Amino acid sequence: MNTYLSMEVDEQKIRYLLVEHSIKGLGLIGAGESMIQVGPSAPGALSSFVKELAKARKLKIDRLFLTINRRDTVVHQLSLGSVSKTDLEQIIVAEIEKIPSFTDNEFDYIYQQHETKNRNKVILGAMTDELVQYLLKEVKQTGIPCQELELAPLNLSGLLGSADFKQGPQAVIILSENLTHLVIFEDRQIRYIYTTTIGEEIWEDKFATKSWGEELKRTLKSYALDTKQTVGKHWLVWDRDKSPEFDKYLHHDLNLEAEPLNILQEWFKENINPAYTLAAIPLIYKVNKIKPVFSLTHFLRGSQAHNYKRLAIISILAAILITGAVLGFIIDRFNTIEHQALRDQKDVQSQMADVQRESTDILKERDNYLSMRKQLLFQATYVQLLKKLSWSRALSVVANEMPKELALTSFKVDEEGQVTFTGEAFRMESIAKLLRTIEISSILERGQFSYLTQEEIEKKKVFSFGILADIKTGGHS
Amino acid sequence: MNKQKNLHKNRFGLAVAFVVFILAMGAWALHGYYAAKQSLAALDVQRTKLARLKTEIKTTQDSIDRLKAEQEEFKKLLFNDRDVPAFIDGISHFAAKSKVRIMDMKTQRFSQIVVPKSFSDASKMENRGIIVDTDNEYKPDPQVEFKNRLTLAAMPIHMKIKGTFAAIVFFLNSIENDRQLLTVSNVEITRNTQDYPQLDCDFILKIYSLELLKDIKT
Repeated sequence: MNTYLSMEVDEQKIRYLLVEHSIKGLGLIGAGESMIQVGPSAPGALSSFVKELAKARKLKIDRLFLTINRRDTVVHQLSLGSVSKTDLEQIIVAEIEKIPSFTDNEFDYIYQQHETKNRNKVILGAMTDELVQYLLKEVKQTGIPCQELELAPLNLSGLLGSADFKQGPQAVIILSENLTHLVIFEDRQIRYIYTTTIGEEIWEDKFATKSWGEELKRTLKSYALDTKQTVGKHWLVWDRDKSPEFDKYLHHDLNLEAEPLNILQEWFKENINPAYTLAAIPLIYKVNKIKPVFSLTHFLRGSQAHNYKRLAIISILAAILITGAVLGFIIDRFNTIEHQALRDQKDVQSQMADVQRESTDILKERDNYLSMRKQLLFQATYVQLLKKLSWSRALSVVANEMPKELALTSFKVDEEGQVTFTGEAFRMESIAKLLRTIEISSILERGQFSYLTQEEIEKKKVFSFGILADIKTGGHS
Repeated sequence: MNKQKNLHKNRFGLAVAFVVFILAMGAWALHGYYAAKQSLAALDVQRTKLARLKTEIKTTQDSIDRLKAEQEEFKKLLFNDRDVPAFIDGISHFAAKSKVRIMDMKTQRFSQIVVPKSFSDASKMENRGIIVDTDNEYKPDPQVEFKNRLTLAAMPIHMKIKGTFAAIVFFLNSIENDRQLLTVSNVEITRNTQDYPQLDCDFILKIYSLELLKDIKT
């Protein structure tokens, strides 16, 4: 359940509706008007009113709706030929600037156009930036959201869609304080709008009332002449509490038949004074989700822009934070991986240095062993070659191959395999036989004389000899 | 109208700021990604190197173990210090069995086996990684640590024996058939006119052992 405050604001007073909105529909909590001067010259007036009202009613207001119905605004109609949009904008701006209160002020405007028989009819409304900024500031000060602002009576005709309003063009006369709007509409579209700065003050002066009535009738007649269409019905929006018989007075004294516009009965059970119709316009649009012809958010764009900007900034900051957090996490992860990898590299380098030192020692040790192995192999090979000569076999062979006529006195083999025979023989032939035997020996070779001497022993010739030979280097084991 | 322009301008500015922020952060993240990737790649390379180095060390250690085992096997063919007295006792036993008399037996200290250059062609030896110096003698690799270097060392035993030719041959045969590495050289048999057929035989018996180079004379 939400509580809404919908207000019609003019220069001198605020007319308001306090409404409770639930799934059952709208329920009126309260309605009233307060004589407060509202405008740029009275800063804080509107916001103070809202706060005090909420405090007095002990309510938490969820949303504000504003209808601006003031003489310092413009609601106007133009009738143009066919023009481009750019030209149209320039014409509208120029038209608004003709109004003295807008001449030297910045302003914002809204318009709608519709073409009829080569005529471009433009309905426009405008507010000074000063007033808009004032309203935005006041709304902001209340701290209550406000996203709908109606510049009366631009969107009133959009609510007039029931069967009562479907019989050709009809008119609504809106009598406000110091201001009267005559809106001719058909099919919920404004066909003609006329505004005069004469309002409720006419009730104090019958002549003024008559004059006001004549002005309205002339306007209606002018419309009928211009469009060749007669306005079928007239509706009246006025403060019934202040002047309960005004509709009848119009009928009898001014010959202007106008029925009270009681459209609020469609949404409220209560019989609400028609004067609250303008105040209720933005609320009804919002609650019933009706799309207005004139945007209700147009003049709040500044606030919305601010909101959008703030939302955009918050969104982007959030996006930056989230993205930053995600990317930051990723970057941090990569940094952690990189630093861990660098630390691991240092560890591996340290291990590698240790292993290389160990490797150097081990390689040196292996080289030592290899070197020793080569050396030992060489020495062992040498020794093995020395061992190739089997002395027992060599001596047996020598004993067997030696001629029997010889007597050896010595047999010597040195380490290099040189054999020296010394002995004695009676005959030279025996020594020669020994030399021949050496040539064919299985273990000796290259036999040669070392010396040969002859002497007589007991009258016998005895030859002493020395023979050199080599042990064969191959074929023995 | 200006309000709308300002609004659009602000929105555009915010959007640009956001895009710039995203791009900057994205670039930073990309830089971080490539830096991390490079570091990981470098780490991978280093780990591979370390693993290869460890494998090489293991292989080298295995090689050292094999060389040690070979050395131990080689040692079994050689004498050690404790074997020498037993072997000398064994010689006496062989002499008695062979019916030769040991007239003299002189032992010397173990000395390193010096291979003369004439033993083989020096260039061929060098090709096999064996160093032959200009003094016609083999010398081990100087880079090998001296104190731990083992070398094949020989202990010469100068022997004089007396016996018949057959006994001498049997004795030499008995010695040569020993399980361990030994060599007989410089054999000289001479006739002794006083007690023929007894012959005098001089020879050098060498037994071999692995010794630390620092402990022996070269």
